[in-house]
Amino acid sequence: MQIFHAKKLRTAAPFLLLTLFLSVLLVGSAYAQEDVSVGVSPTFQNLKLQPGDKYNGELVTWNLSQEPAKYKILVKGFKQIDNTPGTAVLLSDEEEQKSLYSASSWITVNKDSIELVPNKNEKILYEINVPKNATKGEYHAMISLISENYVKSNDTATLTNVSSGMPILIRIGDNFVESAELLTFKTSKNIYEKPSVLFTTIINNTGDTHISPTGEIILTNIFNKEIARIKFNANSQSLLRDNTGNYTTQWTDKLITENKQLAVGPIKAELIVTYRELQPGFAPLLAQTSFYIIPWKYILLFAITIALIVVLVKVKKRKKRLNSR
Amino acid sequence: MRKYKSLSLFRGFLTVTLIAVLLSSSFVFKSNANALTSVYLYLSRIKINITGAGADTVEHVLAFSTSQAIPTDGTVTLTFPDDEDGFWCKTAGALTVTALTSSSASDLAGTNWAIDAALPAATTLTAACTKGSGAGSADKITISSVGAISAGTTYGVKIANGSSAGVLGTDDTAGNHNVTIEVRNGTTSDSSTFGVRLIADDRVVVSATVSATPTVTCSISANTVNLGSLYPGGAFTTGQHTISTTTSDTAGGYYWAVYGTGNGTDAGLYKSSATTYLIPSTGSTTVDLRGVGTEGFGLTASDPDAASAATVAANFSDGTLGVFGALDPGVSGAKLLLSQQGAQTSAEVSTITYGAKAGATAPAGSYQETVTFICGGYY
Repeated sequence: MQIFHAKKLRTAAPFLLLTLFLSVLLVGSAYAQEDVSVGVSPTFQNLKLQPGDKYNGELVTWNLSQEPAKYKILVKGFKQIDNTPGTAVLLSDEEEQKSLYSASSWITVNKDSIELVPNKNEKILYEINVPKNATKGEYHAMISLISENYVKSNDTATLTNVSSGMPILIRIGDNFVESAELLTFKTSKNIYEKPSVLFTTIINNTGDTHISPTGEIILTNIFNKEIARIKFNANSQSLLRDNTGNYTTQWTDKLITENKQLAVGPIKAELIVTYRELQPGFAPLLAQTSFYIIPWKYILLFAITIALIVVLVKVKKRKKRLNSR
Repeated sequence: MRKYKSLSLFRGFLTVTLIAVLLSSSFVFKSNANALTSVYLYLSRIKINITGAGADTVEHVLAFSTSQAIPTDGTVTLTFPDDEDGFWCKTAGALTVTALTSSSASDLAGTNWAIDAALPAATTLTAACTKGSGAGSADKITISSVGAISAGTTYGVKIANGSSAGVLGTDDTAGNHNVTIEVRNGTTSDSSTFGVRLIADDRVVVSATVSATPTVTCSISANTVNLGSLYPGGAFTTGQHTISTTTSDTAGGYYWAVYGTGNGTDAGLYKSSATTYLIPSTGSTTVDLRGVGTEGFGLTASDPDAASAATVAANFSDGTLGVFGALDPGVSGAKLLLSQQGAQTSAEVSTITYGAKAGATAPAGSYQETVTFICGGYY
């Protein structure tokens, strides 16, 4: 009987070991954390085409993680994210159907998905065929890659995907209407302790093409002296047609600024923005705001010092008077 | 008369025989030449028509061993083909000679071509090249004042252009060129002849153009983050990973946006098996998990570069422990998470912290949320 059990055990042992090995493997894969990465070039494409034109291009992509990863390739129209100029996120299917300016139907890519092995560039070839009846204006679409996450977790967990792509802006025709209005120009606070000021400028693009407004914010102090000149939209973030964009500009300096002026008290800020490619000087956007820089810690220290001096002088005088009596 | 004639004939024959014997014995007695046991000649350039001027120079590294000892104060000679005068020795004169104990090019350790010792000097090694002129006179490189050579030892030496006079070059014809190496002192010598192959061009020009187009690389450190156990009505738990961004110098900046999946209607941790349940993320800009009876899921991002102008969207700021940014479901619900103006050529790393808390009525089970991070460069 004992011999029989031993035989059974000998037969079962390999299966048991295999089961144990597989279960360890499965648990391992369930918890395996892998990094994911995607790189793209170019990060955007500006094209000027005519109805009936054909354009061929390529998007180069890579994966700098340790593991190969599969990415789905999507072509859709895009929109800005949270009124931030220069950003792009794909339209949902519903948004795509409603979009008047999506050029996704004009674009074909040579693959639907791509496996990116680590540290190797891969090309995605695309072709744009502009319909012959396309009307004048700017259209847009984005070729986007999104990682596919195959992790199966039995725990409470967050699974992550990464997505990146190339927005394409396609101008059809000539003589675009470049038009914009300035909605807001303001600072984040009215009073600052030191010259570290955040300006927010909101511009509405009312034309039929994207604009990349540029300009300056000129700061003058209470003595009407220019204390700083800051570049507006130094990175040329573009604002899509029919969109509003919030531009933020940070100014950081010292109380005695780089051009040796005092940045204390009421400060006037004047914004001058141009956005037209043709005749940029025509109809610039102008606005003005003001704020205060009050270095209260220094002022308090100064006041305390003065007060102490006054007290000391008074005490000395009183002592003198008492001594003279 | 006949006797005298035979005698003189005999005398003549004897004289000729004796002279022949004497001559042949002297040749056999004096000759002491063998082949080199091993010889290796490395040319730093194998291109034809090396002029020796400017950077267009050639160096010779010679490694050899002899079959016999060669007494001190001998010479080592490299003789090039007779019909290639003036190509191997472009300008006659003194060369730079360096005894080598090793050379990355020719000291092939573990093979027959491992250099055992530097070429010894009797006093000081000198080298010079001479140009050939017409038939019977070839270009030569001669190393003089060579010390005693031991049989079976591989010696190494390098010859290069002289500081002023001697200039080395290569022939103008591609193909095989026989070079004779001879190690000699007086009548004792070893020599070998072998071919050196020249080619039209020995350098491959590798060219690449660095693209001026802007690039952005976006990475996430983990594709899954375990949030541990959530206890209904208990405290919130957290899990972390990082997101990292690098752009080319030509990029105007980068941004990250984020959206969730949830149950398809609302984002959040979702238990898809029966009984289904959602620990929601939506409903407000932030999810506050500090209070009693609260429930929810969200995330925060740290500022990747406190010294620079990276901006974490206010909702996702990690300034208040227990308050997390809320997510919306689907791509149409993508929210800006992080942005930074200007090129970022070194990685900008932000820590993403997820916070989750189960309400008192949340059923037991495992919950998951798939969060998609969108990254790009400004256009």
